[in-house]
Amino acid sequence: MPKDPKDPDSITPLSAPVFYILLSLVDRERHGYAIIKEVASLTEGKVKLSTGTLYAAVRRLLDGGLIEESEERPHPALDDERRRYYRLTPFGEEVARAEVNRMVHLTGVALEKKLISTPSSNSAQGKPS
Amino acid sequence: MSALRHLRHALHRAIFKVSIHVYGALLLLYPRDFRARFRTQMVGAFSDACHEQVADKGFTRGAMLGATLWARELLGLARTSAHERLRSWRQGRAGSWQGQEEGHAFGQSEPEKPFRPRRRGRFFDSLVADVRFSLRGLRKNPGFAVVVVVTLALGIGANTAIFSVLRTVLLRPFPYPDPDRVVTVWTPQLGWSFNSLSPADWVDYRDSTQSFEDLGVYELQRMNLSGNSEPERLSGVRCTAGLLRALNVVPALGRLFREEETEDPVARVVIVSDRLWRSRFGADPSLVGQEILVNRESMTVIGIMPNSFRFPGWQSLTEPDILVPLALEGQITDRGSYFLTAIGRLGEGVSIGSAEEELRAIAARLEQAYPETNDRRTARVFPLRDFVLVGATSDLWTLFVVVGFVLLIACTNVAGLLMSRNAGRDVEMALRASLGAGRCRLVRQMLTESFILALIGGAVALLLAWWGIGLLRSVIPDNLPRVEELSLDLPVVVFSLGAALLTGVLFGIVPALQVSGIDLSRAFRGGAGTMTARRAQTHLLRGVLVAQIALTFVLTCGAGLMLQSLWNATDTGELQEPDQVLIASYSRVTGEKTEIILPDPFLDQLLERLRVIPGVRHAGATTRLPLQSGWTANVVPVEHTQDPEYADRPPSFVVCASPGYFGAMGIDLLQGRDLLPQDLSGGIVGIVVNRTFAERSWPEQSPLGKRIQGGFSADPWFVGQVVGVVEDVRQMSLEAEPEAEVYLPFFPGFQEDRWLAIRAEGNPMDLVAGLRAEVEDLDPHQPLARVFTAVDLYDDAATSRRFSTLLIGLFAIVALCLVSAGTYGVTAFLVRQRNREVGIRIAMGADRESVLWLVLGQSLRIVMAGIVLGLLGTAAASGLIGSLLYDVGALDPPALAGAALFLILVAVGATLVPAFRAVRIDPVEAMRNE
Repeated sequence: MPKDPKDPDSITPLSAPVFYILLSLVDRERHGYAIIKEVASLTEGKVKLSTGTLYAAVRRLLDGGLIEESEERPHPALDDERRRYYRLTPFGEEVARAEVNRMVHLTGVALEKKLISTPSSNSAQGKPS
Repeated sequence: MSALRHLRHALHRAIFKVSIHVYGALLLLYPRDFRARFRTQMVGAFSDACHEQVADKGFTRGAMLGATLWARELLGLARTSAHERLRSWRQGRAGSWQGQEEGHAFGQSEPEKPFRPRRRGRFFDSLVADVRFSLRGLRKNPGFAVVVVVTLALGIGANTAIFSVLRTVLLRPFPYPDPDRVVTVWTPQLGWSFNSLSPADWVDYRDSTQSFEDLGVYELQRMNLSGNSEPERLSGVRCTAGLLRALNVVPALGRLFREEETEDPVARVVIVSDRLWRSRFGADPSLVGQEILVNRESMTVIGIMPNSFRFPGWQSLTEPDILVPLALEGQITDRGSYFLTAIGRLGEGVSIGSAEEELRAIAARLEQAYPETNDRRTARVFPLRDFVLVGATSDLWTLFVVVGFVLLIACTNVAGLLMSRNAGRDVEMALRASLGAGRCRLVRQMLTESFILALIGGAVALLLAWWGIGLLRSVIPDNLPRVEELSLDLPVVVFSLGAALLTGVLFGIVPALQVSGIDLSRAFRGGAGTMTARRAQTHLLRGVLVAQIALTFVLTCGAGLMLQSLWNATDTGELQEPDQVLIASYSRVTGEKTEIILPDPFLDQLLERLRVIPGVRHAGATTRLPLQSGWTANVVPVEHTQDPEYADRPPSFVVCASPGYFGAMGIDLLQGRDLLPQDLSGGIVGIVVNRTFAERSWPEQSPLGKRIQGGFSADPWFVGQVVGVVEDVRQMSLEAEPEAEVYLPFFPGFQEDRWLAIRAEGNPMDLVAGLRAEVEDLDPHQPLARVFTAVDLYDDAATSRRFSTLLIGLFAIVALCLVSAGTYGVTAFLVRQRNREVGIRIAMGADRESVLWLVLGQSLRIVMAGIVLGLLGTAAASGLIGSLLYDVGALDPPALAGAALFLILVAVGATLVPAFRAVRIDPVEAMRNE
């Protein structure tokens, strides 16, 4: 049976690029290349999205109503007419939050099972074999 | 410095622009709806990325960053475009699936499918799975992917670039309607097929033949255009009306010649080219009907040729500046001078063979009627292609074969890389097979991977080819017709794609079959069981490397020989200090066609003035320089005019020279003296012959004082006495042996070209201003053409040889790089395979040196096997290689030894790193890992 598309939990877990794109749009709207740069800086350069990956994800996010195109444009001196600016929809924010909650829950489980000692430890990122 | 920076900046900009275009074109991989929404944005984001990440990062760093960016983008494009295509296809097929799809669209897991609707869908799904799997594998091992893609891109890119030349020059039809019916007619007597027609023969053929719809003749000639602005020297064609009809050209403005305008006496009319019309007359349409001054005669412009018009010549298809009617006048009865080229359009349904048969029948009649000139003279008909593309055809196909070699080497290299990588995948494959994947399915998975690699390689290759074609256009020799039309068009792109797919199969199939054919139980059991499988694998890998080295040997050897030939051919030893000789030319139109011994007061005055310019040591003039081919005629010793053996000898080159020419040009005088002004006075003229003429005519006798005459008849066109013998110079080309040659002391009326040779004390180019001033002072309407040195003359003649040497050398370097990478990869793999063995040896007390020799010996054995195979290959291809060489054999021992030594050095170099790695193996570690 198809799940309810408006239930944020039905959409998670998110793929890494999608999650990073949502995160990059939390504080403000950005255009395509600005998203790529923001994702790179969020991950300290570990995730470098290609334009293909970015726009395939943008297509799905737009179609799913998680982000939308913004009508506001920056000062014409800083603008490039080829660019489109994207921002999170309230639903998109809900989904991002649901994903974070899922991760927090998982982190809690890992702590409880003593897989990691502190939530900030990097060693938790390795995949279980 | 700033020029360099400027150049670098321009290069960056060009690469940037090309990248954006290619990226834009690659977006065609996405479905239409996706492109409509995102294309502009994606191009914008990509160009932003290029700007920020690559620009201003310096050359090397910029190139590396650019390559990384492209690799990331190509992987992203390949992955997401396949996904988007699948989505768009599913949406188009069944709207009801959309909800399910989208519900999962953000997740990491594959959507569950409630049912499998059709077989095609299943195939497509598994294909997508294969593609995704392969991409994931490649992303895990980016170093491997980059090496493979670069290797393939080099191979396919070089092939694409050469194919584009082949297509433009050889495969594209000539720019005439129904080009297959356009042919050329020749009248060979002995040997050489392309012998021009004599005026009298031409008239007889024209009047008797029925095979042609239209038939005409032409003669190329430089012409002077003067008038209100600076005089200009133009390339001109004198032709009959039938010739332009045979080519079936339509003028852009005005009309072509009418039949009566090219009959005797010819009309004073002229047709100008589009180029001249634009450059000289400002594209003024009212030029038609106006008078212009050609060779100081007023002529009426009757037509302007279209921009696309090209005239077929020997090894050329160029745009002549000007066309005038051909005037044969007094020469119309001349059967002994051959200077007309005939071009005709065969009648509907007439074959070349039947036309030739008819012309031969006419030739036989002429032979009977005029045995003196037409003895054994026959007729040949050739397609236009054989005449225009002579030489180019075999050269280009050879290059294509060579570049095919490079691709083959690239393929074997990649196959080797894939095999050594797959060696670690026995267990994975066995696992997949035991889970129910059939052999076919496994092969498909492996082939998908090679196809993806090949396609990415092909895309990068297109980029390389784009750049390469631009480069080729600047280095390609002028005598390749139509190179200016060189471009990366659709058929070339299709070729590149085809080459990519073919290479995908070629390098993928062996590793795929090998991996998929493994023995399940043995693979799982590991240890001894896999040893046999591994041994088979190692054998195959070694075989691949041997093949690669053999191919590279042939190529390296060929490149070395080409270089040696270039060296031999451009040797200017036949001239003394050619860098001191300034050459300039002009044409002197006298209007007098029949007079043989004609005074040339302009030349005499000019030479006199030039000789007193400070810095000039000698000055002289001729009608033909070395290497420029030219006029040939029968010249025989007077005592042998009745000797049948002399009638069968090839005609001699006849060159007209002024006193002082040999000294100025630097041609050594071997015996006797130089020509003198008084050689013309009296009934018998003084003549200088070359060494070959003297040796052939009077072996072991002194030629001085002997008499020679023009032709065999009792009424020769000249009789002369040999006053000097000079050293041979090559007449036809750098590759041709010197022929017999005579230097006449006079300039006949029909020889209009004048080449000035001036020997300078200092830099010859310093004399140019003085030379121009003297010419202008003597005659302000006399244009002087290009000025250059004798070294340039030899350099220009070597252009096409230098071009093929450059390309073959370049390909050999690419092959050497590939083979050293291949040797490194395979040796490293073999060392890894023998880790345990080497560990045991070291543990048993083997010293480091013997381990080093173990590894080196292994790769030396491979190299030696490759070299032996390569030697056999070189011997087999010696005919082909030999056809490209000059003055050196295809099996030249020093070249073979050099290539072998070079390859051994390359192989040893590539083996050193893995060998030292083997030396440092820790025995305990090695055995534990096994």
